[in-house]
Amino acid sequence: METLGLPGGALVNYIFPNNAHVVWSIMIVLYPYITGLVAGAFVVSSMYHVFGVKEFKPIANFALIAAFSFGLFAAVPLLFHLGQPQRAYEIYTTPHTTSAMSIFGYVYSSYLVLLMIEIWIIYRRVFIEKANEATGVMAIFWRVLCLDITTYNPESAQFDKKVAKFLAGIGIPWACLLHGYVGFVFGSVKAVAWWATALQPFIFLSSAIVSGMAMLFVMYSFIMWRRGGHYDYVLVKKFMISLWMAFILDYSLEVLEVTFVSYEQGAHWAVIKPLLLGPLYESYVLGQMGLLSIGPLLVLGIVSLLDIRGKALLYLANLGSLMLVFQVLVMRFNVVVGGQLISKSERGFVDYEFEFFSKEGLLTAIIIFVAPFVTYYVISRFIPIFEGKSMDTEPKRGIL
Amino acid sequence: MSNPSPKAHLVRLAAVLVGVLVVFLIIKQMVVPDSWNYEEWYREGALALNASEPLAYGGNESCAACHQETNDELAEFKHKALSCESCHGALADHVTDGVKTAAAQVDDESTWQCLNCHEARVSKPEGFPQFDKVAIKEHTEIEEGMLCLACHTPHDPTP
Repeated sequence: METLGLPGGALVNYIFPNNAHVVWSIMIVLYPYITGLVAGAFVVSSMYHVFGVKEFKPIANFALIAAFSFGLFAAVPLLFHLGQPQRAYEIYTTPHTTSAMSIFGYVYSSYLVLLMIEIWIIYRRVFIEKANEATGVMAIFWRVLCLDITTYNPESAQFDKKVAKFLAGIGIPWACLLHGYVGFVFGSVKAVAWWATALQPFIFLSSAIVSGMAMLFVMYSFIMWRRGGHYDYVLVKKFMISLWMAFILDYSLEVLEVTFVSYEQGAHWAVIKPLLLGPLYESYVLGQMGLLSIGPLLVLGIVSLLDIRGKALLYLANLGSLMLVFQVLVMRFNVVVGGQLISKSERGFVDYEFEFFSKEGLLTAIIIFVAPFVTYYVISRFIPIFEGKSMDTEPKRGIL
Repeated sequence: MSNPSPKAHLVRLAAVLVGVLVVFLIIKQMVVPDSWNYEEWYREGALALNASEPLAYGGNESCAACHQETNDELAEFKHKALSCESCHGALADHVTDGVKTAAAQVDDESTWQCLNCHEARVSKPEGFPQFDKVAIKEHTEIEEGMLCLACHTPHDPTP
């Protein structure tokens, strides 16, 4: 137990009875992390669908499906955290309009619905093909999925393209809203000095984009490696430049946050400084802001600025992306758990101990985190993700 | 189906979404309690429900009616601020119409009731007597399983 310097070394009563342990633990670390992966992956997809970045065309659909797979599990950690998860639906039936937290149900679900409609529009051609080919129960499944419209013609293809672009267009501010909202929930807790900053939504949003892009790239290179190593190096290069830029923005905001509090030398800094130099020294100073940030900045900088090609490009890109995947995970931990380490009396710190087998332990976290990847794998067994056989290839007139 | 309109799928999608919305509104209507107060955000019926629950605790005054002597001594006891029912259990049904109908309880075979309050916690005031497993051992310097009540009177456990 560490204490701040108090007159006479006083230590008595600095932890209030309701503050003896960290209540928001690994599940609440995982929730913004998975939500961030959704937002980040969606942004990659929108870069092609809205902004027409042609290099990202081969992964535009992959990014959408990955975003959807993560999106399905974004709220699961919250259910494990709740004491009465069977009442979770009440945030839909009686959401209190003055509570940011209670609006989560609507912010999250509306975004997931938007994502599902976008995927549906883009993959409608595949669904129709399957509905015409399949027999038995699967035929019924695919027919229901195409809402019993089993023809696909150039007019509807043209129209779908416009709708997809529109959905991706409104999807960008919506994704920003979703993750900015998560940052807002933390940033608006004025009782926790380490959270309470108006920068928090922007930090969460930019780190979401970074983690989503980095995770997407790690998945991409793994899938391509399994498929025999047909990497698209032009894509890799462009992707790394974008990731580098996104991370520069993210890191600047993170540095800005701590610099600002430090420069103000206010009441908050009196408790944040010993927090960062004490309990969070390894995970924040050395990890989040040190190795896991300086490393990717250098590696991705080298990849972006120098003429590196082939395997070297691939290895460096994966190294940089992996470090960023962990940087954001550690950042979520430092914010969520770190903030709660400050005792509510602001006179010292409480302890946090990792649990493994408990309801909110590491094992549960690992299982929840693996679930999106399994979901992605299952979806990829049913629909083509990298073959470019969806909306973008011109269909022949009439029934396919 | 022969050559549907290029927008037919979106019309059907819109119909599905409207259907989902209607189902949601019906479910909302069903699950939100009738007495839900949208101004104060609570279920008004909950107050009447709680008030209609049978009483479980009688309060110290109800004990004093028969146990006057113990009650008079109470002012001098170390545990004077405690409710009798903290240790003796809920006693609203102890006496019915002047006749004892249920026994008061006290567990004098274990220390859990003492530790309910006196188990060591970092958040408790420094001067408050509190014990973790090590402190109990140091405190008694005797074999394990020794009860607090072996030395301390529960009503007035002054050392």
